[in-house]
Amino acid sequence: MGLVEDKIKDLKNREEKILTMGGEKAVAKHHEKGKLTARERLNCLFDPKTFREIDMFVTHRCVNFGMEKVDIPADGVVTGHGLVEGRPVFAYSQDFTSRAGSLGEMHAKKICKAMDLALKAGVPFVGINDSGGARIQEGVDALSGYGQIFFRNSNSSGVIPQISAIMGPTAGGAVYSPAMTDWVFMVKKSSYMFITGPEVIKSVTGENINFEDLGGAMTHNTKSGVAHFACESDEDAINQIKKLLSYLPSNNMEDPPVIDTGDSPRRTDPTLNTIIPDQPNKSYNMKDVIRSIVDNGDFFEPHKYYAANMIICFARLGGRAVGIIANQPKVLAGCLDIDASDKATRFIRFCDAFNIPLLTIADVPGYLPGSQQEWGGIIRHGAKLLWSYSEATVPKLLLVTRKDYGGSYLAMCSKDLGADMAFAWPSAEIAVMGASGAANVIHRKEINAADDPVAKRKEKISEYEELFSNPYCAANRGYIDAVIVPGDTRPRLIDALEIMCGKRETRPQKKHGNIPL
Amino acid sequence: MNDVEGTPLMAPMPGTIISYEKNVGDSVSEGETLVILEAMKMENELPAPVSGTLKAINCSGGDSVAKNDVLCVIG
Repeated sequence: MGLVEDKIKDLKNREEKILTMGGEKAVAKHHEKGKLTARERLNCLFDPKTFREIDMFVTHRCVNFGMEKVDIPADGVVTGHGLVEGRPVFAYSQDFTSRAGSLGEMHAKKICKAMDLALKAGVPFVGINDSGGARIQEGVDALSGYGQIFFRNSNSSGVIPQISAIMGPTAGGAVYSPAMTDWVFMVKKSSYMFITGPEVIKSVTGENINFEDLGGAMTHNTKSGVAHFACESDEDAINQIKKLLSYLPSNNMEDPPVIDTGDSPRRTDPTLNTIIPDQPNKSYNMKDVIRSIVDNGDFFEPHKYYAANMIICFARLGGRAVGIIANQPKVLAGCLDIDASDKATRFIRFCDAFNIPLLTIADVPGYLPGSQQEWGGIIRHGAKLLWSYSEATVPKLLLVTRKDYGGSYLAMCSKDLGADMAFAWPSAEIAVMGASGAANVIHRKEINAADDPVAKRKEKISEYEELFSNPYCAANRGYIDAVIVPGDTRPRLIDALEIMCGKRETRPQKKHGNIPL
Repeated sequence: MNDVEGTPLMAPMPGTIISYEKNVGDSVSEGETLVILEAMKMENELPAPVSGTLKAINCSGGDSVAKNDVLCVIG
């Protein structure tokens, strides 16, 4: 052992042992489930030969229940940094083959160290979760470990992008760190998230429910909105994470990368001139509008299955990343409701935190009526939209394609909430309410007194439509900056974005506002 | 009618049925429009949640429905 050569050999041996993770059998069992190992996942995430591991030799300190004899390679989690498409990223990846990736004191300390470094360096942080939960033998030390991660999640929020991949079971305290990060990717069939599992639910409430229905990928992508992406496999999830990262700056002091997409900023599209149906009660697919406007028709959509009446997506305009918030007339008539408000608000705040300009595309008939919505607190949830748009200081563009009525007109980033440039198509109807409702309110007496109230009502409705169901009343007052030919939308938006990209706007200094949650 | 076995298509919001696009016994494929529901001053095309055979139609054109009312069942 005296020779340096032997010492180097000893190092290699030690490393090799750790790289075998939970051992051949455990790894084979893991592969049988169609899952990649913790290290394979990191290799998939990072560009070849760029991953630099730290804390490989960290070991646990637990001496309870015979744990002093248990060796857990890398303490069940691999941490380090590397390059994702040439850009630096910190990551951890829990190793299910080593003691089920359970989280103990030192396991958590490794994650925390990587998080601290990511924050100091201003580099995105990716967490790959595959863990049986707290290492129970370590007791309150394990609990403390979770707490230290949560604290750092909150501290890093809005400074560096934080992304969570769920590639295995995640239960109890373990779900909260992903929930505190910006984006949650779940793999179908192999990942679960819940606070209390099926057995506990059965013993307490008698309800019978399986893992998948309770907390599987599609459950959280459709019902709860906890997850933003449902992925087919580990590789698919990692590829989608890479795509997401391509739109984001490394931290809140940087701008998102501008890339040459090869799509002409001058490109027009006459098909947009006929996309709005002549009948105001017919729907169309807002995604067709988005596809036509953005670079190469390429957009990346989180929350695809949740509150589909509101579309949120990342895309590029003239090479610049934008966050798009758009009503979807094809689902629930594109109305605003609790879930849609929640979904859009979190997105607006993420984009604002990371200097990603916002494009809002409005075609909204109003808020969904009903006691369920009112009792569910649509007032405070809807208020979040008004709040987050007002709060956002990034460039804000608005395009009104058709209906934009009343409170929902304001909620979809009207000029009053700080839209820098507001455009409307000639088909836009910007008014305090729809024509039939408005005619009833304004002319109730006259309609009731008429010999033929039905005909009178019809007459008053068309009178109102003539006067107000257009973009010109709003444009007359400057609430709309320009009424544009739909086909010319792309170049108009790109010019607006270019001119506003140097925008600097400040808000009063404060600890933080008190957003209605 | 709710005792018919299969996957129900429920009203996503309160509204008035304009029409059913299929008849009982027709085979339907997932995503195909089954019902047109007028709500929020829009004609909303409600797609089949699954592929199968239309087993039951629970309402008819002109009916007002509440959120989560079963409009039809696919088996």
